[in-house]
Amino acid sequence: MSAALLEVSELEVAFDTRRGRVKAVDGLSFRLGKGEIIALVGESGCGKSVAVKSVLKLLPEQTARYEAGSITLDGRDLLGLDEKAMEAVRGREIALIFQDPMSSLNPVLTIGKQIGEAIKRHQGGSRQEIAHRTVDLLRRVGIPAPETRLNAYPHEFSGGMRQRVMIAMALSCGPRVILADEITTALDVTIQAQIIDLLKSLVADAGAAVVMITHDMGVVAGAAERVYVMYAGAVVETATTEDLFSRPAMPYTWGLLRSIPSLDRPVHEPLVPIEGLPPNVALLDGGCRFRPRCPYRRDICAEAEPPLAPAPDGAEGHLARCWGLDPVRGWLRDTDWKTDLGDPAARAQISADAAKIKGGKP
Amino acid sequence: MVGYFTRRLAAAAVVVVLVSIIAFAIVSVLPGDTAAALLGEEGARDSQRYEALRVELGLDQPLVVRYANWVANAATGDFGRSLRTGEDIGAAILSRAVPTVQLALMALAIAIIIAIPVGVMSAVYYRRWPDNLGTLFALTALATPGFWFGIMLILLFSVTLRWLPPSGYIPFFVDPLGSLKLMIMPSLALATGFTGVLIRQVRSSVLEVLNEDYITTARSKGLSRSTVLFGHALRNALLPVVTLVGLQLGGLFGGAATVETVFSIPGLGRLAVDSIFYRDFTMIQALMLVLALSVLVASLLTDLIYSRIDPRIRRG
Repeated sequence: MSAALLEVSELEVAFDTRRGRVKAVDGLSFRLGKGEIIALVGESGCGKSVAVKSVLKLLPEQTARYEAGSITLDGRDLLGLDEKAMEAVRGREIALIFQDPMSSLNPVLTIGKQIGEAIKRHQGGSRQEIAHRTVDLLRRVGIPAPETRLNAYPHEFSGGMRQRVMIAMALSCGPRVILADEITTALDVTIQAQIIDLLKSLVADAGAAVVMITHDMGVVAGAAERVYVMYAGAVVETATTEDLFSRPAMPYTWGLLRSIPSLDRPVHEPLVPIEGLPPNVALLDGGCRFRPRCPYRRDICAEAEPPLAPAPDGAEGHLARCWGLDPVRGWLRDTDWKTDLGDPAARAQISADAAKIKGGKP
Repeated sequence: MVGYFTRRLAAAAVVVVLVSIIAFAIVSVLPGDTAAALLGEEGARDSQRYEALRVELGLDQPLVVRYANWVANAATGDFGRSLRTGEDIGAAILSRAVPTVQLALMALAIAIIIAIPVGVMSAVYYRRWPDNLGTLFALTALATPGFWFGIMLILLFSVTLRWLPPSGYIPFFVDPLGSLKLMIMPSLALATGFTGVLIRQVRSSVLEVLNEDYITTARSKGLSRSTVLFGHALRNALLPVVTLVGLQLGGLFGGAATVETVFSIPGLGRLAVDSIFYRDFTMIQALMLVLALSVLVASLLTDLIYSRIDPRIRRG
């Protein structure tokens, strides 16, 4: 692992709500090396997007609380910076690309203006220079006839084109880190691969590092070098992409991989969903956070939260959070996750509980 | 853009025709006719005079022909003569319209000048004390009847402090300063309720826009809070506000009636009130058409402004 460019360690972010304080990010740690692409993966509601926004301190000030941990960029503590200093970091050193290109561009401003204002904010220049650079950026992201598109409004672009505009905007000031929050989710499948390829080639040219936030394992496999699997606000497993796909260590990751459709699998073999629903982070009880949905659970799982410990394959940087992998008492160390689906009775219980919650009474 | 505006104009033309039919019909279905009203109860008994007047006024002709005549004349600005004063209706309305338009425009300006800063402040300091203060102000304005507020203003500024003249009217082009001095209190009185509504609208619309993704995008570029607020949020937030202003402009003309009465301003509102009291049918007919037209013009202007702010409308 190279020296960390962006390092988040033991980050805890909570929100003040009417029902009290709710932790959205609970002990998140990841490191991003120079020019590296990493992925944060997890289901909706696992805290991915909050994690991204917290890096740029874009969470609503009145309700969001940074309770513990640190975020450092090149050794500089971002959490200690005031708003003015953060403004200089945003867009210039760390840029953000959002999930939905339909709603993340301002409908009443031309795209030339929206890209140009970032350049103007951080690097300045005459109007001609800024317009020239904007055209250049649009050309690099593959917008046809960029000179004529400068004065076009977002509604005059298709979804894929808008996402290209967003990428151009993120790249405009040559940031060292790009946070890409579900950037392909709102796009057609045919466009998704194009956008990922575009992003990969552009960041390679620019030497930028990327944190991809996604729930799509396909995107992860195609783009990321290292993966952090998040569950209920915390990292539950991390490994290089290859290790994670070939030797996933803990039951939640198994579940994620089993629920991907694959062409090499026999057609009659059904997909295996992860039973149950993601937990309400307000109600975590101190045990393993995946336990309520885990068909391999045992008594110890309710007693304490397992630490992020080296996985059984012994690969460097492969860590997982599961009591079943404990070198001494672990009962999952030799499980073949593809065939062993855990205890059928436990599975039935989990889906019965989930049905009850869906029915209304939690 | 041109196509869009032409379509809006065509739609407005349809509305004008409908309004003219309704205005004409209301007067036609009233018991008694214009001739009877002109002659009075006694005079109408004299059937010879009555019939002669009916022929003179064209009342002996079929309804459709009368409507066609009325519309044809109205189109040239000839609405006939007032039953009450005998003056030319077109000229009367024109001269009375000037004070009302001045009053409405001043009230509109006051409302906008107060409501945008207060509403934006309320939204930015959501649920903190500036917001509470702004909300209190808005609800108070909303709950205050304009004519009562007008009387209070007269009491304070004319009777007690003797700063401003209590009532009357001077045309703006004759004596601008004197005209403004006379009109400032009526405008404030007319603006009260509208200002309250507008503050609430600006507040909720800015609040909504501040939660949009593109605001986060703008902030993620490193723009300062004020650039984000004024450069990105305000323009989007003003879209529904423009609509509201357009819709309420008609209401301002209506509300002018009481305020004009309180401040003795010879405007359209008072003309309408007087005409209704005296059953001046021909005048009421013409006033209905003119007021409906002014609302239509206001809404057309609104659409025009709207399309200037929102590029998505321009292509229509």
